[in-house]
Amino acid sequence: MAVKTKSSEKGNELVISIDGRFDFGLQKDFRKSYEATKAAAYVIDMRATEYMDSSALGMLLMMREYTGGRKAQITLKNCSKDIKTILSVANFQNLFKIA
Amino acid sequence: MLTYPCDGDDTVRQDHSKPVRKVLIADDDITNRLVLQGFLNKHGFTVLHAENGSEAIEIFRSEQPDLVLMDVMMPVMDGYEATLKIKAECNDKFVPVIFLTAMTDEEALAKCIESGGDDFLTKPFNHVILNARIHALVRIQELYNTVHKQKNEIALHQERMEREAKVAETLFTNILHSGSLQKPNIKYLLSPMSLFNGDMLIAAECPSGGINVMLGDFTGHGLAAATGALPASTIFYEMSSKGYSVAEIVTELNSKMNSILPTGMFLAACVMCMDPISHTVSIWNGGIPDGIIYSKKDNNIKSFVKSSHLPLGIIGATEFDNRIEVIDLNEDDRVYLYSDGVTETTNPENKMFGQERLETLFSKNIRAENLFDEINSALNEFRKDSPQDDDVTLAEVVFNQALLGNTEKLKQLKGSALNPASHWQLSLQLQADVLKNSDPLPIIIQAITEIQGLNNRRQQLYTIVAELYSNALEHGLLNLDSKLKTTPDGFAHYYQEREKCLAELNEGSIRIDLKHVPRDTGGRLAIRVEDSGLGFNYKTKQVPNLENNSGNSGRGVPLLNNLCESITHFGKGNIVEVIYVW
Repeated sequence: MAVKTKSSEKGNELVISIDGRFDFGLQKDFRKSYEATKAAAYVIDMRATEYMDSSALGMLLMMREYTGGRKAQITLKNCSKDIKTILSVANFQNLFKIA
Repeated sequence: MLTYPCDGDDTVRQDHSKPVRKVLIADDDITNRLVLQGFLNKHGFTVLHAENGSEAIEIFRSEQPDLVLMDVMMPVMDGYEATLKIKAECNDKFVPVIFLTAMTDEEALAKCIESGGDDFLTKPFNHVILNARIHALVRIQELYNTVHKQKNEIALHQERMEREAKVAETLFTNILHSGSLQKPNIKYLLSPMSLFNGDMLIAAECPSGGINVMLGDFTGHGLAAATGALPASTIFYEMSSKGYSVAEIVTELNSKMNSILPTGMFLAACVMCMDPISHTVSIWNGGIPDGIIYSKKDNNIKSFVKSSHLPLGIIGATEFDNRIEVIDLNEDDRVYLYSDGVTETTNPENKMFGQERLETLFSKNIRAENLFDEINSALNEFRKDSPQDDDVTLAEVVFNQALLGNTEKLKQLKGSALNPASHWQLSLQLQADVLKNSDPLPIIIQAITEIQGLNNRRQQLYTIVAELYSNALEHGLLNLDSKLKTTPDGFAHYYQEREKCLAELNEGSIRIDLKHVPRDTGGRLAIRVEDSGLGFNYKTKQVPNLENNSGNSGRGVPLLNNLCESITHFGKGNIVEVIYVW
């Protein structure tokens, strides 16, 4: 499956890995991934993410709202150069932690 | 999985909500027919008789049976031929044909299936087996009917969708192209990847003679994406025609998009105003790839307009940052705006066109007039015959004074007999409770433009007053440090702090003094803003450079420098006065 989740050993962190293309095709799986497990902080691991489109940006916004809006703790980790560009053009560094 | 109730006895399941099934028996032997009839009646079927193939076809046409039991050897017309004809007349219906034959050679049995039969049984047949075969075929028939019904529903649905999309497409095309895109100083390329374009490109003339252009890119494609285009374009056209500034337009657009778009949907947009009076372009970019400013003189890229804001519709009005970038232009300079579909154009080897290839086109270019076409053909050449993945939108706006401002109209505006430049003064003292609960900017701008007929300068005046006011409020009264905004988290944090501090604000005030003096042509407007805060040491503070600043803060003062004749600080740094000459 393209969306995998793992709770960290510290317990309160949920790591969601996205494999392949991060686009609308993953919408259902992606939503399930954070709705199924409540965590204090979320990490989206993009090590294996090839590409993301604007609907993926929208999905991130929906996740942000679901997990607390402004108080949401979401970190986007291991982003490739291309993905970083997409995120920074949309100025998503203002809404998410990009590590 | 499709389940089917099967209770183990030898009855064929009957759906009692439907009329009893009709079975046609084609056999020249009456005994055979009667034996079968007894068996079928027992299981609730009605039975039709045919003595040969030709009669079978006639009865098939007139009675529309649900199932046919067919003998092979019959006079007049045999079972093979009758089955071929019956199957040919079935069209979309599935009517199972079971051959009942005394023949046992493989070839004859294979021919049963070849001629369109669905099954065969060799005589003498066993009732249990016959029942099972009928049972199986009825099941397939029901499945077929369901699938067929759904297929029809889908086709109907599809048809309706396409019809509606067509109507909506016409509507959107009319809205999105009704503006000033046809002006000779604008070249553009809009290629919708689906029926609807997620991209929007619109242009409108401002009262100042300048031109406003907006490039928008909705999340996703298609109908959902294009729906937001309607309110967005209405706001853009109306505010542009009334002379509202880019900052005011994007603020309104953001509020509207934020209230109508569901979470997860937004409008990445770049809004610009090319102004022939100040020789500048003012740009707000939230989520669109770097705009390119091309210098005719240097024959190369002069600067980029980075996306320094979140797209429209994501955050609320309190956090929304409407600050713009102002860039000087010379005659024949060009501004290029494009959607990500341009750099993400993919070739057959699945490589993207990319930023670098695009910039190379600019540096290689010899005649600026050809640049647009060069980019267009480079994209087509690169793509070859690979499919288009995203909407591709590209616009070129040339700074050409003759084409931009209707100079006659401008002169009239300047020396308007109705509103000669006059002496006037206006003071406003805003106390904490007003600062907390309302935004005084629209009233101030309205006042200035009403009194003096400065509507064609609204754009610039808004930028100046907004900058002075937010400095006084955020740094003077609320003591917020704009350095906060330089870190990734800081930006959001800054606006959270701003909201928190503002809610807690109990004392303090901002005083705004406007003083206008006429000149031979136009006039001179002094805007003085004083806050009751602690001030700052303006003698030692360095003014950041606008050109090299792509961050989130520090653009305020250089912006003012650009638009005003002078900026002077007084007192302990809590008073600032700018002079605007027109």
